[in-house]
Amino acid sequence: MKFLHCSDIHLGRKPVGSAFSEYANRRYEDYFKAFNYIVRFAVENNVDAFLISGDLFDRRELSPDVLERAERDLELLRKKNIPVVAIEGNHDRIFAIEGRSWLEYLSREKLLYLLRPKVSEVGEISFPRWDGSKGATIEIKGVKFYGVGYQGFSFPQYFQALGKVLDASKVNVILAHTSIEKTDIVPGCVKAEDLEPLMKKCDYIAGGHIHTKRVQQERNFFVPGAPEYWDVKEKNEKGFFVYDTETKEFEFHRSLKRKKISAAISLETGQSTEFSNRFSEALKSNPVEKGCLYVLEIRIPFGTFFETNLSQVESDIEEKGALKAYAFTTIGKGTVEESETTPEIDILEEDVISKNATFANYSKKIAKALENLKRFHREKNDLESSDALDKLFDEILEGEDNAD
Amino acid sequence: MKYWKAKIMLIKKIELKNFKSHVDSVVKFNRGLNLVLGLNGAGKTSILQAIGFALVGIKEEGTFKIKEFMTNFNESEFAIVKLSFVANDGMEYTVSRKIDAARASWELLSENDLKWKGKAEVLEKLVQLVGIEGEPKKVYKRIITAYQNDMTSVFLDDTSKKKEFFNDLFNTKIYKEISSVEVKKYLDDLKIEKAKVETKIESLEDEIKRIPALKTELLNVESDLKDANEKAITLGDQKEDKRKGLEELKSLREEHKKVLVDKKRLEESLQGAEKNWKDAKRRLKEAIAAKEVCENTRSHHEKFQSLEEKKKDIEIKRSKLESDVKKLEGLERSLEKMQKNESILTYQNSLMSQSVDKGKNKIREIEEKVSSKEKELESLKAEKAKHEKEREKISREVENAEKIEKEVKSYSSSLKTLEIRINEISKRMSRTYSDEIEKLRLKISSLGEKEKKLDDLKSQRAALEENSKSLNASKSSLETGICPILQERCLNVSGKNTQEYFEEKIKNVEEKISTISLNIKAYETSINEMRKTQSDLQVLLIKEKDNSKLLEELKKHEDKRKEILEEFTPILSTLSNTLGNGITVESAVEEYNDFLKKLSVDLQKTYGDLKALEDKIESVGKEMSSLLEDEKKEKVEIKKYQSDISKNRSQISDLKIKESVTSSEIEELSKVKVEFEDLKSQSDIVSKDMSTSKPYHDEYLKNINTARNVDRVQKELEEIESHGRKMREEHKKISAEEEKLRKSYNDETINSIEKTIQKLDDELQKATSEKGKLEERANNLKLEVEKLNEKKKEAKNKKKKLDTLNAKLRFTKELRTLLDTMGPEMAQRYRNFISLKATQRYRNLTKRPDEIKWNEDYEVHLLSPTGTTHSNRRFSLLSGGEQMIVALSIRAALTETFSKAKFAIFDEPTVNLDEERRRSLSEYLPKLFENMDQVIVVTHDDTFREMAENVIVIEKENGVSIVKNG
Repeated sequence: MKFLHCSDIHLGRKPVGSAFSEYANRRYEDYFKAFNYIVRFAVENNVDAFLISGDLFDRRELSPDVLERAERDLELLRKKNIPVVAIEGNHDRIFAIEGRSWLEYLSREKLLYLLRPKVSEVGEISFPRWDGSKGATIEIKGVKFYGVGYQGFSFPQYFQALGKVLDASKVNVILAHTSIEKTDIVPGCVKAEDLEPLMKKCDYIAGGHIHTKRVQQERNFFVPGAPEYWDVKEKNEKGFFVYDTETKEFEFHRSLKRKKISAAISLETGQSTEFSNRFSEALKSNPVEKGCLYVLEIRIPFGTFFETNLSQVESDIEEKGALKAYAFTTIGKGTVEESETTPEIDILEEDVISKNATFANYSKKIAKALENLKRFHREKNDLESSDALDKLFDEILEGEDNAD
Repeated sequence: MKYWKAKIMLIKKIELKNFKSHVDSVVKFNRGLNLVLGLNGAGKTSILQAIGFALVGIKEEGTFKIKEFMTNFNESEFAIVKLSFVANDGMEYTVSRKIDAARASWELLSENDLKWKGKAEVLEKLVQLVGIEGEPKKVYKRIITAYQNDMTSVFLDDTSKKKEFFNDLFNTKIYKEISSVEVKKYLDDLKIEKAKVETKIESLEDEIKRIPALKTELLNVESDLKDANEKAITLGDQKEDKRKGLEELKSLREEHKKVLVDKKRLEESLQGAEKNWKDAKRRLKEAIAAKEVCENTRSHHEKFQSLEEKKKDIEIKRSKLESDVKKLEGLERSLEKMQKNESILTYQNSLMSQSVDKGKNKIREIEEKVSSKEKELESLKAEKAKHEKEREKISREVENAEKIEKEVKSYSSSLKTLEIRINEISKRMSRTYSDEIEKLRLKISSLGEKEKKLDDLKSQRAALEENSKSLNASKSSLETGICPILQERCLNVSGKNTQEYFEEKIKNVEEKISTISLNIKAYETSINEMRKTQSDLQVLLIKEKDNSKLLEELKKHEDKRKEILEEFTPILSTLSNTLGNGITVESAVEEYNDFLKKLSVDLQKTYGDLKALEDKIESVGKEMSSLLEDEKKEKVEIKKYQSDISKNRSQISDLKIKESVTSSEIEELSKVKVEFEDLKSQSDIVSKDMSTSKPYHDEYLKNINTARNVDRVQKELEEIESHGRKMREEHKKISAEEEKLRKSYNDETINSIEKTIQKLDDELQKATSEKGKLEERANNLKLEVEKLNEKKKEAKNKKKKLDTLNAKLRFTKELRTLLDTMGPEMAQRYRNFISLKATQRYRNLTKRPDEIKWNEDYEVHLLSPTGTTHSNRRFSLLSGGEQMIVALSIRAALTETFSKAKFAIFDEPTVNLDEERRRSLSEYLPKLFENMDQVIVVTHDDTFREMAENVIVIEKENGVSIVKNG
């Protein structure tokens, strides 16, 4: 069978707007356009199933308009007999005590199958079959779909439970509102080893949560990204996948989204005049286009004051025609991704280490190792500490050899 | 705003049971600023203690015992703290802590029912859920929570205290600790390993030294091996030559043996051939003698053969005729049988014709009887019809009469009922009350008047009594000299003659009263009587009313009666027709009953007559049907006879035809019988001739086979003779060959060659074993060299390892140096980093270009630009308000850096603050924390009340804390 996999649609999102534009209203429409584009693609290409791995809606309470427009698009799929398999994400799920979610309502209206695992009174996780109104497993055209939903920090427990019930001889597809990240600083994401219980037992893990495309083919793990920018700072590709369970091949299709222009400037003193010059240069090389989103990154050296009012900078860009401008500062030499995901303590440590003649080039590695060493020190785990040091020095030696 | 900081941490609710002054409290928190308000000692701080206890396990300091958390208001043996919060992953969790005398348990439950138990497991999860960077307890105590006036005082403490506080927070000691524990251990391990590797290299190098000597030895052994190899090859060649010669001689010997065998076989064949020749000669002689006998008997033999042929022909002809003869005999027998059958059938037919005639006569008799019975039946039926008409008429009359009787009875009974009722009513109405009523009415006609009079009398008496009272009062008043009008002593009033004056007047009045009282009594008696009469009258009036009701009913009944009599009139006239005039309703019933009885007797009689007639008809009918049955039987019988007769007749005619056919066949076949007899006599003659020729014929047959062999045996004899000649020639040839082979070899020569070969073999074996030994030695040497080469490689690797170890040792030492000095370096960067952030916050808040500096003694300075230079003031020299802004800015920066949770707690931030500081705090605290998800402020005053989203009031009643949410 051929299925389409999308995620993090965030229907109903109204980003906080700017005084100079109808930002919020136009962006509200953008999310519907992005979803409608995917639905029409599914109908025109006649896929066998339509997967939404979480966050169809931006929030758990909906306005009638959002619900009605979502129903209208899902109805297009129902008319073509394309079954929709969905799970809840962190945005559109509900607390257990609060009762029903809107996705549950859509499930009862037979517009989609909402899959949810079950937890018994003694805390055992199970994946019951679809009984006509609820369940965590459903079989469509010989393919078994399992819904894990969003489980925050507890995904590892759920994957272990699921690993025990998967039949490796079947074609298994898992929907989980999570992504693989190297560190645990994005709550709700998992580490590669957390997926170990599922390996060799499933053909496709339909992930989500992270808003840009991620593919780990060796683990059959796919995150299509939010089709429209949830946050203007989001980077890289966004779209949806079409997967063929027979050939085991996948295609990635870009989504329909608003144009975004990114520019970056580096400062040395952080003074206003320096900024003005760099800013004009940036606008020349990356001119503002009408209705676009404009992201400006300002890198400032560690320990420097940045004097300019950022909201004024944003207003200037918006007056030139951008629908929304976003200006922000990053400290230090690292790339944006690094400074976004590295704790500040590590940055300070890196700075100290970079002044050491021997380790200057390995400050990042050593700071990372220190993080582990601190933990092992607290746990009084000598063995792990020695291993960590040995590994660190091996890496440094390898680096020096390569440099030779 | 950084991605990883966009996290939510929200305390939703805390439940306390038997926890300090809280016996059973629930505190609910909102997003934004939550204010916990209450007087000192109300139990506010207990709530904060409970949060810290549940979230990171903080107990009180010093000699505190866990059971001190338990309330002392009741006998309970446990306390419970239950904290519900939304964690960084957006999910809701509840951490529960149960405290008993000695210990406190941990349990964590997620909204989707997952569970964690035990301190280690729960705390590890909590750090992840709450998102604390660093030591959880320290961060919670120093960053998340701000106690009392810690806000500014921490920056006013002496240097050593500040250092202790912040270094502890920045955890600067940990680098040195890691250096002296983990890295030191690693260093020691490296040293030990280095020593090991060095020893190993030494021993390997000792072994490697042997390689050159081994290589020389290997060369020598290889040269010896070459010589040994050559010798073995030479011996092998010699042996091969000898072996080939021996093979040749041996093959000649084998061939000779084969030729000898062939020769012997040939000689045996020659002997067999001679025996065959003799046998053939004898058989030829016997055949010639038999040929002579056959020549002499041939003519007799041929005659016998022809006779035999003839006899065979005759027998064939006879056997053909024999079947016809048998057929003829069969035909004669069947003709006889047919003739017999024909005569039997003819006789049967004559008998059956007689029976038919008899039957026909009988039928005629029956038919006559039936017609007489039919006539009788018709007359009976006519009579019956007459009787039925009569009966129907009477029935109708009875039916009619019964109907009328019923009506009469019903009318009469209705009338009777009505009359009974009328009688009853009349009886009850026999008395009338009108006279009596009138009398009574007359009696009470003056009642109203009398009542009025009585009332008048009573009021008169009351007036008199009042008069008497007032007279008495005046009398007594005047006796004391008090004016009865003015109610005070009056000189005009004297007590003289007053007694007499009043007594007379009083007497007069009292007499009047007694007269009136008598009158009143008389009136009252009379009125009472009249009232009694009035009630009697009432009873009579009711009775009178009843009477009029009865009268009405009576009238109704009489009307009804009249109606019934009217309705009855036409029936009565009908009855008169039947029973004669003068019939009344009363007599009608009886008379009509008699009339009905009479009718019913008539009807009964008619029924009897009819029954007799029907019986007669039935018996005649039965007789008739029995006659008809007999007739039917006779007719069936006749029909059966007639069909049998016709069947027999057709059989007879068939038989006659068959008889004539058979007779003609018999005639034809009698000719064949004559021919058959003739052939028999011919056959007898031939048999006689054959017996004469038989002996000669037998002799011929006995010899003819042998006689025929003469030519064949002759030829066989010639062939045997030629074959014998050929074999004799071959024998001569093979004898010559055998002679030649016998001379070509010699057994002695063969033996000697075999011995030579054995000798060569021994020598060769010796040479090969020598070679093997040399080869083994060479291989061993090669292996040893190879092994040592491996060791050489190993030594090389070990040296490389040693290099690595040395490098690692160098790194480790370097790392230790780095870590040992890293604490202060980090502290400095923290200070820079935090003061940078704090400055940014300070500037945003105050819009002043000042800068916060934090030097290495943790002394905070505020630098304010003034023209080209700037002033530099220590924290202690700042105004109270400035101190507060600076302290809050630093604290906000600390919170942002150390706690991922956007959540803070302030415990009594206004205590001990002067007015200026308090005002500054209330202005800036909410601004500084406006991007926090949740702030909890515990306070006893109203400073923050206006901006709080949620106010929780704690009060104490009888020593127990009471929580008032929202």
